[in-house]
Amino acid sequence: MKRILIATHGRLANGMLSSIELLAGTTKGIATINAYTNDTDFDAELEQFIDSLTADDQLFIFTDLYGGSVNQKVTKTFLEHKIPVTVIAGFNFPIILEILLSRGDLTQEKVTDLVDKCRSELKVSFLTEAHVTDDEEDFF
Amino acid sequence: MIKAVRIDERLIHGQVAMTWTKALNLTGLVVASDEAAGNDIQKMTLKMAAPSHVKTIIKTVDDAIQLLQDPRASKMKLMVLVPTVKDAVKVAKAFPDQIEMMNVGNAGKMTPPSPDKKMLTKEVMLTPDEIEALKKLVELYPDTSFQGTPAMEKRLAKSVLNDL
Repeated sequence: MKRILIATHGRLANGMLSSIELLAGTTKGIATINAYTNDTDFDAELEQFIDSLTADDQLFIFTDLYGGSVNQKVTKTFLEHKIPVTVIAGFNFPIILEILLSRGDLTQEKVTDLVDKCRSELKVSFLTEAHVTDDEEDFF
Repeated sequence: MIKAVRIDERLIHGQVAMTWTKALNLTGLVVASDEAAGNDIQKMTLKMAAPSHVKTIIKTVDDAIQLLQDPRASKMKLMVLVPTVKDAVKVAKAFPDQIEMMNVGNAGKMTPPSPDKKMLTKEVMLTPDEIEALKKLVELYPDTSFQGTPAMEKRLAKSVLNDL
C-alpha cells in the first residue's frame, strides 16, 4: 500500500493534513510528524512510523526544507534502517495531492514527472488588471 | 460528451481541479454561470484554478448550453459546473439522458444567510425555491447524487430529500 509521511518543522504537517482532508476527502495512509513542537518527540514518532510499515508498502516522505534538519534526520534514519523510500523535500501542496491521488504504478520516472509538473505550479502573478481570453476555437 | 454536471457555488476550485478532473479523466471544464460570465476578474481566477492540461471556458448558462450542442463537444470529456440547482435544471432540460453524472457538490453556503434556508448536508444549504428545483432535477435525473469529491461518501439526492 502507498504510505505517506509528512514531516515538517512545527505544525505545518498537521496543517497540510487538514488541507488534504478538505480537498481530497481522505487522509488514509498519511502520517504526520510535527517536529520540535513541545508535545512531540521526533525520534519516537519516526521509529513508531517505521514500526508500522509492512514489506509491500511503497513509501513517500515529504519534508518542508531540503537542507533542513527534518530532512536530514529522515534521510539518515531510513538509510540506517535500509528501508527504500522516496523523499520529496521542499514540498508544495500540489505534489502531495498528485502522489496521494495518483493511481497505478508510481515508478521513479512517473514520480520525477509529477515533481517536475508540480514544481511549475509555483507561479508568480504581478496583478494589475484582469486579462481573459474566451475563445471557443481555443476550447475545442 | 457530458461526463458530469456539478452544482458547485465555488465553480472551479481544488476539489474539482485535483480530484474530479482525474477521476473522470476530463479534457474540459465548462462553467455555466451568468454571474461569472459577466465578471472578468472571476473569469481570470477560474481559469487560473483549472489544471493546465484541461481546457476551460466560462459562459452564461444559455451560451454554455449552445456551446455543449456543438458537435465538437461530443469528442471531449466535459464537466459542466453550475452555481445553483436552478441552473442545473436548465442544463438537464437541455440535455435529457445525455449527462452521465448529476452531482451536487457545494451550494448555498456562500450566499447571504437567510432563515428559510435548510441544511441538507454539511456542504449544501438550500432555500425552499432551490429545494423545489432539486426535486425537479431528481425527476429529470433520478440518480442525482450528493458527493464532494470522488473519495467521499455518495448520497442519492432522492434520499436526502426524503430525510428533510
